[in-house]
Amino acid sequence: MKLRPYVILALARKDLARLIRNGPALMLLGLFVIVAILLASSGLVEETPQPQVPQQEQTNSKETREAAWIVYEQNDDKGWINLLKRRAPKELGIRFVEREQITEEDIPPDLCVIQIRKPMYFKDRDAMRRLIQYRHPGSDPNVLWPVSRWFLSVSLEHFGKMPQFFETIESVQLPAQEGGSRAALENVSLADMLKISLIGTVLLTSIQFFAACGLLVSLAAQEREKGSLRALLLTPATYFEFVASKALVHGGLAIGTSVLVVLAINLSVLASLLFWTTILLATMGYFALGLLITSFAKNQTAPNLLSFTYLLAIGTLNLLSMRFEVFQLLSALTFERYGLVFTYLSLNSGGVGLEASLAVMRLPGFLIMAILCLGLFLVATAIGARRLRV
Amino acid sequence: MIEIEKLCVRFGKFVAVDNLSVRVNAGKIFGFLGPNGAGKTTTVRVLTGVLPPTSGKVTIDCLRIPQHLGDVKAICGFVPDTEDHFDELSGRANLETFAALYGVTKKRVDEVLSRLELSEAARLPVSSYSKGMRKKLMIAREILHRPKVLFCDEPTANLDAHSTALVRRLLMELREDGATVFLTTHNMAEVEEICDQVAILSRGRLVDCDTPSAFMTRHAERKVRVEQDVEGEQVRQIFDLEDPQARAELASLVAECSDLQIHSLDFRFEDVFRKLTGETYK
Repeated sequence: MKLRPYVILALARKDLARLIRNGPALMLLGLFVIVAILLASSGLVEETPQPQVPQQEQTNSKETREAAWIVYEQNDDKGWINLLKRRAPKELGIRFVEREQITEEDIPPDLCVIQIRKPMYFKDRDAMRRLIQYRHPGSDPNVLWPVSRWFLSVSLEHFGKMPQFFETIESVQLPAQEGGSRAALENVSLADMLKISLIGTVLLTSIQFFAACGLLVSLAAQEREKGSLRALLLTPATYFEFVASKALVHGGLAIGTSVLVVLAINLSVLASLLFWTTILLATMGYFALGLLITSFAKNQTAPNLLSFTYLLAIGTLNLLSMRFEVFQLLSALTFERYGLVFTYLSLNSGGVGLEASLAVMRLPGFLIMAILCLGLFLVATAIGARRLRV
Repeated sequence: MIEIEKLCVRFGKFVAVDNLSVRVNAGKIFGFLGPNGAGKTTTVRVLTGVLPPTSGKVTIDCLRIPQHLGDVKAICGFVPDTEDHFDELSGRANLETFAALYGVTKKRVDEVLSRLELSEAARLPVSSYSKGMRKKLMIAREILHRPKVLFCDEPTANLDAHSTALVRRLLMELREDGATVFLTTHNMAEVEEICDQVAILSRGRLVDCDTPSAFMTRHAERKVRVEQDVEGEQVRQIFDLEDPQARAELASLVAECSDLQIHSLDFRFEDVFRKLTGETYK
């Protein structure tokens, strides 16, 4: 298997020159970045607030660093609670309390609190449904952000997808300001706080699909239809050099545009190993998919339709898998399912540290995604070698 | 240079090339003729490594195909009958891409552009080129690396008289430089003009293979066309000089009439082709 850098670079330069002249494709990629910039300037993206220790805590912080409580039920999912306990960052000062051990009055009004309750109609199939009540001191719900972000990320890791949380936020006026009286409950959804991660996930997935799969299929099928691919492969360039050059250009385009989007929405994500690994694997998966479609493409029209039909099918499958168990197995065999979760997780965790990234990367879901992406890449390369080589 | 021994290519039950054996010497222009569907393109596809042979042995410069395809690709060029450029790129960018793949300098790109009279249009995108210019660019691309063997499928199709002459001259120059040209064409005048060796293929089988002069010697007919004016009408007759009776008839005709016009019939490759393949040339 020959892989000569000068041949790969020559082929990549040609692909890049063709891409630069492809106005609509560049406009679409630019649009993704513009959407991210608009999103960033819309107010949905805010600087991640530092954990705000209430005033009273700050005065005697050496004695107690406790800043948040997680109140859970004894019979709740042990694995989840244990994972929450293990992954609780020390700087957040989180204390875990069993609901059965305390009364409502025991909960300090000057701390952030997350109360987890199982719904009354709990059944096995509703294992991921919880009533989550966030409570924060003062009038600014942003103080909850560090704790809630950590809580949701770890929950996502445990369940493998977004749990069905019914969330409410309760604001408690500090006793010093309001004489201990509890303010009226505010039913404010956390949706806004999560929007940026969700939209970011959709943007990044769309970019990876478009740049690494859609654009590859479109340009390579055109080369195949016109015979340009045959002309290239009749030169000393080998099939593997052809694949490497395509991977360099389309993978680079997907990752480069994704980085621009992340720069706009949350710079700190770029420090996350989880983000880079997830994006690399997802891009590899989409590139392999594009290569596979190109291997069977005889003209341009069919593969373009096929690639977008595939995306639609995967989206539908993931939606159906939430409702019907029969689709869950099928969904589990697609790398997109894990790609979406871990992209969301990496965006939601922001600049999560190396240790936390490695912890996530050791999860079965992440390993399955890695195996699926790598396997698909190897299969696509092998099939392409039979169908595309001269 | 090129040796084909008992080559067979089958697609299911259909035999595209049947037991073909041909030897092409180095530094020659080899004309490969045959009616549509005779198996010419299939043979070229096997020679360029695009298609594996069903059986038989094919070697180029002592390198067996497909076993040594990588080495063969470096010494061969292939000008297909359909254009396969990157239309968005300029002519120069197209050539530079291939030059980089062959490890050829940019100076050589300029040289080839100038040789094919494409220097002025080199900066323009190929999408703006005429059919003839595209064809010339394709030839330019395939001679960049000074191939030892050049396969050409209809290289002068769609070219004007000037460009046709240019391409033929180029092919002859390549021959002088020691390259072997494997030419698939339907242009009989081209065959007569530039080929050193000609093979005619019909229904996958080799019908004949020889030099054009040998073809002429073997297939030229000693016939004359006689034209005379009979009561205001022009009457034409063909006399085969090999036939004693026809010869006697011609002699008596010459003796009787004084206003006869006698023309010898020239050798035409097209007639030989038609005779050997048993088909009307298209």
